[in-house]
Amino acid sequence: MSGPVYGGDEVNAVVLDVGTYHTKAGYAGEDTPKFVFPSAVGSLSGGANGMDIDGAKRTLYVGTHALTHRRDKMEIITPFKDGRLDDWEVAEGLLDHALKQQMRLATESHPIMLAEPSFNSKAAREKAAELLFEKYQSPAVFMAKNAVLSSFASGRPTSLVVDAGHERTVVSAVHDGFVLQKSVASTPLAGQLLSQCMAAAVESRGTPIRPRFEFTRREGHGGKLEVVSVAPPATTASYRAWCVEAIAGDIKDTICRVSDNAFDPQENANIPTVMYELPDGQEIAIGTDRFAIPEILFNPALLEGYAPVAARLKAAGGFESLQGIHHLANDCISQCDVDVRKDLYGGLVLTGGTAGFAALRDRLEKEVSELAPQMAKVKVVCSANAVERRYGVWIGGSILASLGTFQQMWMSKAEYREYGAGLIHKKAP
Amino acid sequence: MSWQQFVDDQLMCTLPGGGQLKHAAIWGHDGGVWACDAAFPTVSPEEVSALVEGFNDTSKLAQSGIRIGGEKYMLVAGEPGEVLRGKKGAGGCTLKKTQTAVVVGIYGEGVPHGDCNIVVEGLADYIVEVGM
Repeated sequence: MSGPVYGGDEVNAVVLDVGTYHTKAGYAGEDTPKFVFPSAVGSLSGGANGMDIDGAKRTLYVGTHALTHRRDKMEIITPFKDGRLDDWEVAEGLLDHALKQQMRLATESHPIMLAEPSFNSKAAREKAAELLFEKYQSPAVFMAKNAVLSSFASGRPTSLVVDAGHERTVVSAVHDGFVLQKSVASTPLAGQLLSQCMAAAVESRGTPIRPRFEFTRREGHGGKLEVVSVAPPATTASYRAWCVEAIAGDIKDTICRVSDNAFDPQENANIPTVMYELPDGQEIAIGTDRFAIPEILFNPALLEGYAPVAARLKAAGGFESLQGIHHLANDCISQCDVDVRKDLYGGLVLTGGTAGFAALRDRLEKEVSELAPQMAKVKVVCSANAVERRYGVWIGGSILASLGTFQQMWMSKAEYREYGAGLIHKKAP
Repeated sequence: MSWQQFVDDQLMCTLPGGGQLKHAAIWGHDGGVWACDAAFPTVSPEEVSALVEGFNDTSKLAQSGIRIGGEKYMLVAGEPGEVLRGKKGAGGCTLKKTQTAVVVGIYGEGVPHGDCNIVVEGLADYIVEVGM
C-alpha cells in the first residue's frame, strides 16, 4: 500500500465542515464538533479611503468574538458564491481560525476530512486539496459530500437527503455512500431567506430591529435604566444586515412552527400572537408570520407578503421558477434510477440548521406522500436532537473518518506529491 | 503495445491497495470489443453504444443504470462527458472515454473504488495523450 497505514481508533483525524452559516471543526470519533463559529467574516480594507477594491490587502476578522465587536467600515463577507467556496482568501482565513487559533493543531500530524457541497466543482476540490497539503502539510486528506455524510449520520447508506441550511436547501439522492448522478438540486428557500422575511415582517410593523451596537442603556429618571439610540456612522450596511439577520434568525427559531396543513395567512389572520422581546427591550407580538414564514418552504408564493425580500429575489432572477422543497424532493427522486426510488421514498433524511422547525418533518412527509406514486411508502426521518440535526454533516464525517474500513481511502501526501491535486477526483469521487 | 497488453499489464495489474480488478476491457466507440480479460462478460454492441452516448447525456443512464453484459450498475456521480461510475453492492465499475475508445474497469468486494478509478482513468489519460 502506497499511503500511510492508520490504526482504526488512533487516526487523530480532524473533521471540518465549512457550512454557509457556521464552520464546524473537531476530532473524528467525537459526537459533536468542538468548535463552531460563523462562516461569515469581517473584512476591513487596508488602504486609505477604502479605494482599494482590486488586489489591495484586506484584514479579515474571523470568529464569534471578532465579529461581535463592531468596527468602522468593516464589511461582512462570506467565502461562498452559489453555495460553493469561491473566495479562497476568506476560506483560508476560516481554516486558519479553525485549525490554528481554535484547535491549535500541528496540522502536519493530523489527517483532515473536509466536507464539501454535493455540487462542488472540480476546480474548487483541487484548490482545497492543494491548500490542505501545501499550506497545512496534512499527511492525508479526504473530501466527502455533505449529503453522503448526512446520510451516514442518520445510519442509512441509501437515502434522499434534504439538507435545509442557511443559504440553500440542497436535495440529493445517496446510494451506498455515493451521490447519484443527476440527483442534486438546490433552492434558496432556506434559513437566511426566512430570517430576512422575519426581519421584514417585524420592521414593516414599525418596530425597527436594533442590533446591540445601535443602543446603549443609561441611568435616567429615578435611577431607572433607559434605552438610548446611538448611531455609529461608519457602520457598513452589510454588518448591520448581518446583525439584524442574526436577531431575526433567533425570533424565527424561537417562535416559528410549521402548520400541519397548507397555511393561508388571510384565513388565519386572527390566530393568537406570541410575544418576543428584542435585545433593546421592545416587546413584539407575532401572529400569522409565525406559521406563514416556515410555510414559504412549501409555498414560495407567500414571499410576496414580504416585499423587500421578494424584490431582492426577483432582481436576482429565478423567482418564478421557485418551487417548494417537497416538489424538489419528488422531482429529484423521479430523476433517479427506478430500482432505487422505493428506497429513497422510504428514507428521506431531513437535516441542517433550518430543519429544526416544529412539525416540519411531519409536514414534509405528508406533502411528499401526496406527490409520490400511490405504491410508494413515504417516510421522513429527522433526528429529534437539535444538535444532531444542526451538525449532521459534521457527525457523519466524524463517523466515516473513524471507521476502520475507511482508512485505506485517504489520499496521502505521498500520493499528492506523485499525482497532484487532480487525484482527489479519483480517490474521493 | 497491443490493446490486449494494455488490459493485461495496465488494468489487470496489482492495485495500489494490493487488490486486483475483477474485469477490465477496452471498447471502441463503434461498439467493438478491442480487448478484455478472459472472463469478461459478453457485451452486446447495443450496450456499448448506449454507454458511449451516456457519457454526454447521462439522463437515461441515471434512470436505468449502467449495463455491462446484463449486469446492472447504479450510476453515481462521475465527471460529465468523461467518466461514468457505477455501483453494485460492494463492487462497482469505472468507465472513461477517450477520443476513440472507452476504458472499462470492474471491481469487486474488498477493492477500494479509488484504486479502480486510478488505474482506469490513468490508462485513459495516457490514451488520450497519445491521441487515440
